[in-house]
Amino acid sequence: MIRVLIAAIDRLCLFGAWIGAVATGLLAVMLIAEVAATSLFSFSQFYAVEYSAYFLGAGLVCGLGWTLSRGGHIRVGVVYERFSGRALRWLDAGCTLAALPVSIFISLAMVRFAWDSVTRGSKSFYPSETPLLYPQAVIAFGCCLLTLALVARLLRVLARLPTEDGDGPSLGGVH
Amino acid sequence: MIGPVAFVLFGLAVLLTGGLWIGISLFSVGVLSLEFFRPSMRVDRFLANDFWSSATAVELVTLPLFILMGEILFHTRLSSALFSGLAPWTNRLPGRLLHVNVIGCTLFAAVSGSSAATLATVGRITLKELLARGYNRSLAMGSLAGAGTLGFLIPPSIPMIVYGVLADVSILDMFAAGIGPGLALAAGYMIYLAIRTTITPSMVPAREESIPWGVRIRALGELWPIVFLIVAVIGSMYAGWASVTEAAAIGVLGALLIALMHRTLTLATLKASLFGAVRTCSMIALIILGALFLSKGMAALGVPRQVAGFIDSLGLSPYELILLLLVFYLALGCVLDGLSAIVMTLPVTLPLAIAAGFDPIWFGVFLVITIEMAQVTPPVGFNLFIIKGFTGDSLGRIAQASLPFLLIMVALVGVIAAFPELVTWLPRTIK
Repeated sequence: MIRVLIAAIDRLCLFGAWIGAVATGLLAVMLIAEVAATSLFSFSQFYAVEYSAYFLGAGLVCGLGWTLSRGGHIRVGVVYERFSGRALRWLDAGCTLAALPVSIFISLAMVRFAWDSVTRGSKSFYPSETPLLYPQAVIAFGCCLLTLALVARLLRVLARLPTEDGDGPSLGGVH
Repeated sequence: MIGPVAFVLFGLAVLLTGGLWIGISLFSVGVLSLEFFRPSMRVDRFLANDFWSSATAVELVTLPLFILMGEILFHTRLSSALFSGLAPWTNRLPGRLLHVNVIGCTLFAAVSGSSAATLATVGRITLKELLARGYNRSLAMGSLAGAGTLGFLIPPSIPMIVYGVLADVSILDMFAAGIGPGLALAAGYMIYLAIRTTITPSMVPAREESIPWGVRIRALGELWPIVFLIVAVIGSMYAGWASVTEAAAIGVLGALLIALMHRTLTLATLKASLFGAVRTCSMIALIILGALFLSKGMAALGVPRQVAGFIDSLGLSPYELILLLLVFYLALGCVLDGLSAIVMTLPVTLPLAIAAGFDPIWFGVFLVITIEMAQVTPPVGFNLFIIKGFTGDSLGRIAQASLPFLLIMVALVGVIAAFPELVTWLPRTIK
């Protein structure tokens, strides 16, 4: 049962990473098109600035859960690296438990924020007047994925499974 | 009763050393301090508004683009092209092929915003070649660890983008400000290599036959893709043809063209690049969003003002303050990743530096140099880990090999403190 739940959360987090990857790709394509359009045809896509902000948000937040499961988020290792075996598992469980309340707090705040946009019918102030619900819901989804990834991590600790299946932070970027 | 300053410091110290993820620690301390000291505030609404506006801040758009560019280039054959193009030209310099580490990293830094990407891309070919040819192991590893840090100082630079957003200064000015100190640091490394190998000639193998000019000229052909990308990205920004965001988009396009030319552009590498970018962006995002929230929370609680008041009471001169901050960041860089250390402490240290009369652009460059130092200081110096992955040497040995290059970075801080124009002249001139 626990393994099924972990696998389901992992798939959801991977789906989030796909959203992030597609958003990052679309951001690049849209801005390359914008450079070409403005320099070659003196024409600007009216939605470029607005949608680049939305794609940025999705690219930054939707992969939070997947990155956690790949060991990509940074933590100070001077203490926990001194532990091993059972003690490390307890420490890991403690860290995950400590992270969960604030992650739930952020997720609930962002879900409520998106819901407020539904009830108020909030739209962007750009010419497109995009309903803000959609981009805000994507960001809230990304925050919920981080919470779910923490739950999966806790279940892994309890089930004595490896907590991270990645190779740490990526080399191509900052780290 | 415990005050907000003590609460924030104590909270961060406990959570960070306990091993909680840095971004989550920043959010936790921010939420708890506001709940305790501002009970009337709707912290969830404050957080949601801040999270939304920070995650969709257009100033950050360049961040995923430069990261994606670095990821795409990481999968090309640019590293071997750099070595073949530079090696024939360094053969006459004292220290010979060791300079390929420095010049290769300097060139790659001009198309990459990351120290780790610079080091990993250049080092995976140069280190193997240098060790196989009998160059001194320590000097080869140390020069690579030090030169890899140039990725942060020479534009485009991810820490500079982050600093520009947090400190509300022009990213273009930050990029311009990094060029002088970046080139000075590269020159410092090369001078050290020349002196060290002249004093101890056994650190380099016996001189090979001289390379004909025809071979050298032909070797330059290997470098044109990277030169083209540098001109496209940096040239377009400073010629006024493109904004920083547009230059980043041009950079992604250029990286894709190079990958196409090197026949490394496949669906698999594109997917790996995009997912690598997502992983790096998520990692940075959690820290930046947490730091921005905490800094606004601390501002609401008056923490920066109180810390500034305390430092002010010490009566330090501007140079004593910079020395104190240098020691502070060096110590912090030993246990924390450099970017996290800067992002966390900026709300307090930036007002201090400005009050002491330092230009925010100058202070940004100073901080980027301290991030570079954190890359080569154990136990969490990231460049050390990458070199360990290449050679299998112990972290202690690699750190020892990097020490002279760390000291050159410390000396650079002294140089830019004595001659701030090295930093501020170019941004002022291009305005």
